[in-house]
Amino acid sequence: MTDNRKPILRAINIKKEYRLGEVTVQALRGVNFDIYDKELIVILGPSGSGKSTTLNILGGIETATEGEIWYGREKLDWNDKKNLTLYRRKHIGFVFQFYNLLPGLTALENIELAGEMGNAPIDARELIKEVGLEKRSGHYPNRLSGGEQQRIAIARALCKNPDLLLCDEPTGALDSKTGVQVLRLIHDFCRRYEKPVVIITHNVDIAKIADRVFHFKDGTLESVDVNPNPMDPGDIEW
Amino acid sequence: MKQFRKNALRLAWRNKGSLLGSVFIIAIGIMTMVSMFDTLTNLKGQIQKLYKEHKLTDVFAQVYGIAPTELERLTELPGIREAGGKIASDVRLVTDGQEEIVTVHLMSYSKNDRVNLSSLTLDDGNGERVLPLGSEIADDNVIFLGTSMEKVYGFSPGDEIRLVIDGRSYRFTYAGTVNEPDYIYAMPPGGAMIPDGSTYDIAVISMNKMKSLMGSSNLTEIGFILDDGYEYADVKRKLEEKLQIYGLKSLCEKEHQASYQEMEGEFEELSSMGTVIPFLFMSISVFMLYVVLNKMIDRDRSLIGTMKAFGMTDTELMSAYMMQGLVIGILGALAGCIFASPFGRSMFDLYRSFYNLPDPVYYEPVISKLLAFFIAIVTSVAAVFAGIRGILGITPSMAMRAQSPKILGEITLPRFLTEHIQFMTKMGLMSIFRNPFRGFLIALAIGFPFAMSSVLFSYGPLINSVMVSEYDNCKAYDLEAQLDRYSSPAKVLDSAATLRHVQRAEPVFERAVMLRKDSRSEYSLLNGLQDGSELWKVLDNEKMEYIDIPEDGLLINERLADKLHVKAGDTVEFSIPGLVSGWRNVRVSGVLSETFGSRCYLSLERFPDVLGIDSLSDMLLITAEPGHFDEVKKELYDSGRVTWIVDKLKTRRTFSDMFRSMTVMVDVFNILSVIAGIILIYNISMINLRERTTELVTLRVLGTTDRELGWMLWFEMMVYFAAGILMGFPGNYFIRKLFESMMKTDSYVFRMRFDPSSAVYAFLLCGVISVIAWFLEIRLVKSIKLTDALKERE
Repeated sequence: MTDNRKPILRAINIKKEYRLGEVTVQALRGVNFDIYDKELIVILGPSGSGKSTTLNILGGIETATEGEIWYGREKLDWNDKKNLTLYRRKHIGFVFQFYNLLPGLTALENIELAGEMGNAPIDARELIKEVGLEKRSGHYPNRLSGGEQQRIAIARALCKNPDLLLCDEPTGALDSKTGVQVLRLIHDFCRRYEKPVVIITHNVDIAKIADRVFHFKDGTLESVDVNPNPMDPGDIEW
Repeated sequence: MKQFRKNALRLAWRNKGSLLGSVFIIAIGIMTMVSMFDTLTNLKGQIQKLYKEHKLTDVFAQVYGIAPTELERLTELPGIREAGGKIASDVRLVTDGQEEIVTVHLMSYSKNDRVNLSSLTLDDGNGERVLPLGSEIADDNVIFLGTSMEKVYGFSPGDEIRLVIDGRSYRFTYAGTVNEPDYIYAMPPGGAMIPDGSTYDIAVISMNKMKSLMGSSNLTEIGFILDDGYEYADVKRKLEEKLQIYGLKSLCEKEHQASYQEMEGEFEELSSMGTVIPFLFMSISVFMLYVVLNKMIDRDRSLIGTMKAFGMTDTELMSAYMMQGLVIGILGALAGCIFASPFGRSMFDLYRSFYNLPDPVYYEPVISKLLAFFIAIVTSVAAVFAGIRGILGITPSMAMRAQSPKILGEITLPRFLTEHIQFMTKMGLMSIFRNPFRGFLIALAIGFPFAMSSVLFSYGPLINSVMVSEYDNCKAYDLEAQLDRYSSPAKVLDSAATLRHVQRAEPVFERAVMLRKDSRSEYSLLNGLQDGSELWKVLDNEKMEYIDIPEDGLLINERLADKLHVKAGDTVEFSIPGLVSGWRNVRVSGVLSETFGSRCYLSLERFPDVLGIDSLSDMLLITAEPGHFDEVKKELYDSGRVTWIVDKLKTRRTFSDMFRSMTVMVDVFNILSVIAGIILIYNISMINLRERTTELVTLRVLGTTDRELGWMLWFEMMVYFAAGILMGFPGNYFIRKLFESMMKTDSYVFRMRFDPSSAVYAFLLCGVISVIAWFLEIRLVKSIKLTDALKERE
């Protein structure tokens, strides 16, 4: 596939090996892809295919054994921990499967936390309104349902106005109705702020909302599907 | 069940650092308990054996002289089973290489002695041999010396020893050592409270020789064994009455005899230290075990829920965890018992250096070890039980759900604060306020070593200040010379005038007296001081001010007042055996607080009014002209009238040496409390940090820099540190009071004041430990892989 757009992020020949006792596991075997502005990418693949490893490497929370990640004109230096931290802080937003909200902070404070770190943060109160939880802003995470927690987690990720939003199984722990609500928030961010989003999931139905779908298998990017007519999250069901 | 237990043990192994820390703290508690218990058992056991075999009497008396036949007749009194006595006198000993006036309490020895039997150890050049009780001294010219003096001078068989009696010198040959049940603690005259083998000890020679030296066969130190069922009070009046005609100087029950009383005081002190110190350490280990197990079980909640769902009973679940408590208790007790042996031996050696003990062998009592195992197991199992009892009431579904974080509630930080502090500082503040229990545990872990160390560090300064107060401020003289008889103060001063290079001299009266109030009576030392004395100032160490001796009565110290249950303004009956016949009513005009002794004071000038006798003096306090101390001392040494010289600086050194030895023990406790503090602060910080792993890693993933995280943890640690130090102050007070009560004996009472410099040392020490703990926290946070923590459900 050829694309004349300028990629925001390039992954070149990414390899990742783990040592598990005496066995070396090849989690990624040379993966190449580009990510462009405004696009929503869904990564599909069975367990152990390398999709989570890819996401972690993209987010700078894991280092590759070989290969390069270019963010714009900047190449990530796997040995420079400080720079990796700044890369995450300035450019990346994360949404985790288990939300990872800070238990000692209220819903609003969790969102504000990310805002304090970003360069051009979005107003936390606006975001909590957008995710429909303004009435729950003073509540601690342990008093929120799973769906509410994930919505707060998304608001937190968006608050720092990241250049790239990475979502690791964001609906994995939610029922379908709540899952759709969560996908809508992610989708809206991508469209409204024209920022790229990468979602990894086991759920093939979610792929219907993507601009492109990456299919991972055995540590390789087996194929990339381009979706000319992505569906609205409200139209999908699982 | 077996598999679940195996799993619980494997999970426990993951917390091995914390659990080993608990084992170590238990070991510290057990070590102090066992070593003190064993030292006490050894000392007490050997001394009581000595008392029994050597027939220590129930009642002691000193008289000017009573014939053995007259003494024997006293056994006809109801309640008196056996009576016996010796001829005894303090005499000067002269030997090669001595630099001091050396005095021995010389006593007669006869194979026919019936009570307070002497044990002789013969040194014939081929090794030492303990002679059977009742052996005969065949040679009238041999002398046996107390073991302390023998150790100082290292006498060999055949060495010549001279005794000076009434100005004449008598030669003896050193034959070995002697132990007496009533002189285990050989207290020198002159108010000194510590045995000093270089200047004073006991000695025995044959009865025949003693009779010829003293020119009398009358016994002067006598004792009585009472019939079963009789007590001192039953025979006291009758004995007083009967002994008056023999010049009764003192009469007391065993419990008030100097050596016996001192030993009992030591036993009591050891016993309370052996209870209090282990109790402190055991409390800490229970606290730590509780925290460790509680957190560990919290982590196992879902596992416990699964097991409950499978049908495992609470008892089965509990027993798996209790097993861990059992293992920890056993390991702690085992380690404690192993460490206790060398520590106990060194403590026993310390005591041995002060006392004349016949059989200085250290035994290892089994009972203390059994007790140690019992206490360690019970406390650790109890701590485990306290940690897991919470899981008994919950259902499987509740156990499988993650426990909600314990949050105090929403707090709103003041606006001025949130606007002016960094975000991570705000995060730290929120973390502290929203999980106060976690903070409380860390603060407590800091507060304990601070409280303990700030008290233990103050021991050295305390001793120093006592020495300064007693020997620099109160006793401003250089030498104290005991004279051979009482004279008027003017005459004593006249004799001082003949000495050269004396800058100032003052006469003093000193004698054992008896005070009585209702049914209570106490022996005390009376010091008659001249008004406005400059060489002996009386200091109230509670008020820290010098007291003028009242004109209308006695000034007595608090300890004596407590024993007699009297206060200022009361009247007591007063007797000075040999000087004042019968009892006189004397007003107690003041009560003061003193560190040492059980004394009372009276103005020399007021003797005629208060006691009805002329002013008398038998002691001379002297300050030498600068640079002439040795000359004055030598002149006193050569004087025929001086029986005893107290060199103030030497006495001060002896006290300092004794307390320095004690300081070593205190330092050991200090080191142990610091180690306990390190283990506590480190482990509890780490346990709490592990609880927050996901939170901290999330922050890192979100882009928080190491510096920011480090600042947040630093801020939290400093707040906990400040809280811990604040909590440590009441702890300091509590431990000081405990130590005060432990160190209260009949010889001295220490008031442990708050010592700011010690608090600063303890503060710095805890600060360093906290900084190290913080540094290790940072290292731990950095070591956690970002991806690992994100896989876990919070």
